[in-house]
Amino acid sequence: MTEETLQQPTFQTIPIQFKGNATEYFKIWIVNLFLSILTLGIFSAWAKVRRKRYFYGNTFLDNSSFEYLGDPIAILKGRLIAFVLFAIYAAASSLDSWMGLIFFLCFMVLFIFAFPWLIVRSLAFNAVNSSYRNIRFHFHGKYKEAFKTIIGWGVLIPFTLGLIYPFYIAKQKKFIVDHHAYGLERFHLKENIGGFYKAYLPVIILGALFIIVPILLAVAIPAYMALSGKLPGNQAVDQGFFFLIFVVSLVSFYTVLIALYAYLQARITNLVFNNAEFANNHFKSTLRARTMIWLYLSNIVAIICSFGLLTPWATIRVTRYRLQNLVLVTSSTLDSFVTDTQKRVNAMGEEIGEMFDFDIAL
Amino acid sequence: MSSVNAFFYDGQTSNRHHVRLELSFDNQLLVTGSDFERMYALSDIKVLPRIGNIPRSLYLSDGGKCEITEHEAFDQFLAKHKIGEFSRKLHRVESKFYYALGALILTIVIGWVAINDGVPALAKEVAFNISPEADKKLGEEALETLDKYIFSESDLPEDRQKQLKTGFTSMTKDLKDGHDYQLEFRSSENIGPNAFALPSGIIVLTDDLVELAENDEEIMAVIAHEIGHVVNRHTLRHVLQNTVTGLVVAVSTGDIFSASATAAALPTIALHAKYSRNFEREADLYALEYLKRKNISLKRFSSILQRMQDWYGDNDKIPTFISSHPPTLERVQAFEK
Repeated sequence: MTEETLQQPTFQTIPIQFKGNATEYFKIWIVNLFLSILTLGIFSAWAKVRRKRYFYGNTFLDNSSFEYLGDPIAILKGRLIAFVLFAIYAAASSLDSWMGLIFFLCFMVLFIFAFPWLIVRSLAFNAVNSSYRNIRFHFHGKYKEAFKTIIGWGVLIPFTLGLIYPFYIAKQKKFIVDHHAYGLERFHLKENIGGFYKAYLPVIILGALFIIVPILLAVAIPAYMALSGKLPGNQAVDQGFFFLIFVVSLVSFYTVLIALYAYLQARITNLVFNNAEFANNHFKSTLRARTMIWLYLSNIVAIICSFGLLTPWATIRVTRYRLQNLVLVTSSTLDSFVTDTQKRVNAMGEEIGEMFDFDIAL
Repeated sequence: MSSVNAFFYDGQTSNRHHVRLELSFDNQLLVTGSDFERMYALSDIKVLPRIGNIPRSLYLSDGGKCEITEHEAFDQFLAKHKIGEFSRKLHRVESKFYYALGALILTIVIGWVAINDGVPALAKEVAFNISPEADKKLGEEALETLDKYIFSESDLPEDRQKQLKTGFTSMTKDLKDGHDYQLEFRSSENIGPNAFALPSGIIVLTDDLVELAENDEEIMAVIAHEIGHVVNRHTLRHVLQNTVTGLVVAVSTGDIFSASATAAALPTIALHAKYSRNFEREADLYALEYLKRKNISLKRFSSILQRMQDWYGDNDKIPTFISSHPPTLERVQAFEK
């Protein structure tokens, strides 16, 4: 058996295979959950590593799998620190007096300066603990540039009434992609700011329509009833009707929110991968918005109806669809990448980011 | 193990080699490729734990890595040399269906008990160890805010208020729990007959309630219920419970993408209402005991409750699991026993 090596610069498409399945993952997930609860959360660091190893290890490119090498102890330390910070935040925000307000404001200012640091550390930790064919990835982004990109540009968003948002996201993605490397080989994102504006346009229009309208309904109806002298609660019919309108508004609000999120996931993922390249390779991403929307909405329903038990099935489903629609296009081999020597990054940045639920993946 | 096939990567470049892994006669690991051969002592190799059916990783001391997909053969090799006992057991637990089912059931039971009973019990313990000063802070500006937006001054005659306040003082003078008990009257167009207690010990009755009562003992019964809320530190316990539940849900569902974290939290909204119902039951019990102590008929409380419900219309139509008050019928029946 020989490797596939190409002599001429012709392009070869290498698909990505995902071999994970829901039944197998469910058992891992439930045992992880059980042990995490039993150990009051301590095991959750190991659970996270096992989960990531499962997904990485079942992702194959040209018959070699990826590997996640994060150290559970490092993650546990990060989680403990994040927990302490969260407790301080919770205590601070429940103080009544002006002292509580000052404490809270100081905390927020601190957080704004810490946030880019968290992002950089988190990306660095994740990258260096990801490997393919025993060569690690790296993230070279630094705090100063992260601060400029995330906070510097971000501050302009309210001043431009949000018009700068697609540009802001484009800058963020470029910062993330351009500073990633596989071994010594850097990734590069081609500029395509127009693409981001095209992606966000339907979101802005539809979002305004389908989010503002239910909010107006939820506010206007009780206002109308109060003004016309009909108070909810005097008659059972009125109360039931009011409750129904409220529920319908809430459901439609969340449905539209999730659908827009799924749509953006499809568009932005395509946009980023289709413009990303490294060495003689680039990607082709073919996610369809309508499929993503269907996946996300049906997943939410399944998760609600199963009180969370169908979560592993939902995760596998989305992962499989995403990886099925991503291919690597190469005009050379995958054999020639060289390792980079790099110091290990500790987990703290990543774990604090997770505690406050920031999604910084591509 | 006779030999196991594997991929080998040296860690310097991404080159992939096909190799065979074998054990030499003196227990060294032999890695044989098409154009090289390496040997390692067993103490120089590191095997990562097995998870599902992902390829097995074997790391070598010189930075090389072997990737193995022949699971059975490799497992035999590991067992023979006692490598990775615990992770093999963990994998066995994860792969047998019945173990997973057992873990599932246990998780549900523990989770249910924890949230249903554990959290309230813990909150109660903690609350009673916190000084009543904390209660004052919880409700500090509440009455001012209510006076600004909902309440206006009471229209009850002065001596009527004084009379009820005297009765109130005799009810609370022996309560030495650190709360500053006060009785207040307010009138409101929109609220109707009602009463509520601020955690600091201030109890507010609406004019409509005083007028709805057929005798003073009914009013005392309602006041006793409200005092029950204060004595039992319900507001503080409520805050503690919700914070902990929120934390538990956030920590245990941290696995999923953020959009569906909200979905998994929806059942806790129903739980919140249930917690409140338990507090109402506790306050009812307090009122019950007060009436018994003073030899007042228990019907005083149930009749004022019934009359309040009639005033508001039929409330039993709201499904129990989302209503924060136990259905009036239930409460009335508990008292008529």
